[in-house]
Amino acid sequence: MSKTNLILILILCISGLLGAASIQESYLAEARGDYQSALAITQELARQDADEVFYTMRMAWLRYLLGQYNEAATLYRQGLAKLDHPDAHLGIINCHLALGEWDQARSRADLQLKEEPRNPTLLSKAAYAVFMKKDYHTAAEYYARIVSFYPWDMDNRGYWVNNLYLSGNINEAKTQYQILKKYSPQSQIVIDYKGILDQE
Amino acid sequence: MKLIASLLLLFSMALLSAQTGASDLQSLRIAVAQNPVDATARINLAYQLMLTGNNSEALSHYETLLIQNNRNIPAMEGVLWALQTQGLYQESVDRAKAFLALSPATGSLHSYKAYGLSRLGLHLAARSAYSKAKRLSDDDSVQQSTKLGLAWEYLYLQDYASAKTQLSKLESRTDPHAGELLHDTELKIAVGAGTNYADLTSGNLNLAIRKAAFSAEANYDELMLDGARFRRSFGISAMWQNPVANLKVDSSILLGKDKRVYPANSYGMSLQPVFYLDKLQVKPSLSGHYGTYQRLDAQQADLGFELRSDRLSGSYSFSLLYLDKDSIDSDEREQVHSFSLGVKAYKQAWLKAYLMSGNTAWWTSPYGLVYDAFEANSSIYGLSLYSPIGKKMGFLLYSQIGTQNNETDISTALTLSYSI
Repeated sequence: MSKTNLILILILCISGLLGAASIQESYLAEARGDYQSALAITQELARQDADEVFYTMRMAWLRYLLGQYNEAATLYRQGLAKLDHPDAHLGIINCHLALGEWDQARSRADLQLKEEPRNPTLLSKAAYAVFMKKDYHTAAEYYARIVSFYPWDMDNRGYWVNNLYLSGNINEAKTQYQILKKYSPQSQIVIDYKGILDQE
Repeated sequence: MKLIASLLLLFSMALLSAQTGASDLQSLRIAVAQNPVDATARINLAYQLMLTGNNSEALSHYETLLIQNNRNIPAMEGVLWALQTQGLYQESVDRAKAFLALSPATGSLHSYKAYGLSRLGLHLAARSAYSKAKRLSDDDSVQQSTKLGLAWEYLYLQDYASAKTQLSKLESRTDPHAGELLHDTELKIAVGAGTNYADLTSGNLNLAIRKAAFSAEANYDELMLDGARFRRSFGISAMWQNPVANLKVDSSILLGKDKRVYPANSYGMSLQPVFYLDKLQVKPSLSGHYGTYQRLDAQQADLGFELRSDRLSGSYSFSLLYLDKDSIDSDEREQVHSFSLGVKAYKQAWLKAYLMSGNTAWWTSPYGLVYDAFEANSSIYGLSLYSPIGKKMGFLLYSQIGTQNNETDISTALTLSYSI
C-alpha cells in the first residue's frame, strides 16, 4: 500500500468519525434544550444527504419543539413523501392542534384511525380537537372508544366523565364517575365533580 | 490539593444546578410537545422561558395559546409582558387595544397598556389606563402595580400632590425610587436672552427648587435700552401643590430709570385645581395681581383654564385690569384675552401658538410677564418651540409680533434650562 493511499484512508476515517460526532452533537444540543443548534447541525447533515428521511423527521421534530409549527408540518409532509410512517402523521396532527386547526387535526386523526383504529394517542388527539370546538358529545365518544380498548386507563376515563357531563349525559357520567372513584379516588376529576356527580 | 478538590466540588455543584434548571425547562418543553393543547403546561413553559430570558421563544408560546383560544387572558398578559421586555412598546399598546376589544373589563390588560403608553411618553393616556386598571381589578398584585404606575404617571406629569397620595396608598415601599424622586430636592437653573431687533435687549436668570409638593423660584431680569441698563427686576414665588389645588404666591421688585414708573412692586396669588377627564388634564385657574408703580396702581383679576392631552394643549385666560392712575379722572378699565394652542411636534418637543388681545399695558400675562410700559401692544401673536436636550437640558425659543396703532414690532427670546 502506497503512502498516498494510507493518507487517503486516514482522511476518510477521520471524516467518518467527524460525521458521527456531528449527529451526536445534535443529540447533545437537544438534550440541553438548545434546539436551535440541534436543528442547525441536522440541517447541515441533511444538506449532505438530501434523501435521508431520518434527517427530515428530525428537523420536523426540532422545529416542532421550537414552536415553529407551520415549518414543522411542512417537514413532516416531506417526510411522509419519503416514507409513509405513523409518526409523520402524528407530527402533522400535533402541528394542527398547536395551530388551533381543529377540523384539520380531527380529519387527519380520523383518516389515520382507519389504519390504526385502536391507537389511543390518535383517539385522544381527535378527542382534543373536538373538545376545543366544544363538541363534548363527540369528544365523549372518542374517550369511550379508548376506555373500551383500555379499561384500566383512568386518565382517559376521567376525560370521558368530564365530556359526558359537559355534553349533558349525566346518567352515564355518574356511572363512569363511580368506576373512576373506585379505582382512582385521587383523580382530579373525582375531586372536581365530587359535589356534582357523587350522588345517588 | 484541597483547594483543587473544593473548586471541583463547587464546579460540579454549579453544573448540577444548571442542569436541574435546564431539565425543568426541558421537561416542560416535552410536556408541551406531547400535548400541544395543554394550555397549563404551555403557560408554565412560557413563564419559565420568560424568567430565563428566552423572551422570543416565550412569546411564540403565548401566541400559540392565543391561536388555540383567542380569549386566553394569561396568554394575552404573556404576549404583552414579552413584547415589553423586548422594548416593543408601540406594538404592545396596539396588541393591548386588540385584547381589550375582546376583554374590556380585564384590569391587568389595561395595566400593561398603561405601561406601554408610559414608555412611549404618553403619560396622560397611561394615567387614564392605570385608573381603569385600578377600577376593574380586584387582584392585589394588579392593584399594587396600578397604584405604583399611577404614582409614576403623576410624577411624570409633575402633579406631585397626586403622586404623594398614590405613594401613600402603597402597602409597602414597593419602589423606593418613586419615593426618592418625589422627596429628593430638584433644582433647575435657566438663563435666557431676548431682543426686539431694535433698541431693546434683555437677559434673565431663573432658579427653581422643588421638594415633594413644595416649590419655589427666584428670578432676575435685566432690560437694556440702547445698550444701557434700563430696568431690572427681582422676583420670588412659592407654590404648594395640595390635593385641592395648586396655591401660588409671587412678588417682585422692579427698579429702573423711568421715574414715572420705578421703583415698583408687584404681588400675585393664584389658585389652580387639577382635574383629569379620561386622557385630558384640566386646570381651571383663578388669580389676582396687584402692582404699585410711581404714578399708578394696577389691579388685575384673571379667570382661565388649561386643557391638555398627550399631543395637544390649549388655554384661555380672561383678565380684567383696573388702572388707578394718579391723574384725576384718568383711571382705566381694560380687558385682555389670552389664548394658546400647542401641539407635540416630535417626541417631547412642543410647538405652541399664542394670541393676546387687548391693551396689554401694565398687564401681567398668564406666564408671569409684566408689561410695565405706558404704551404696549394691543395684539400679540407668538410662537414658541420647546424641546428637551438629553435628559437634563431643555431650550425654549419664543418669538412674537406685536401690533399697536398700525405699527408692528418683532421680538425673540431664547431660554436654556438645566435640571440637577
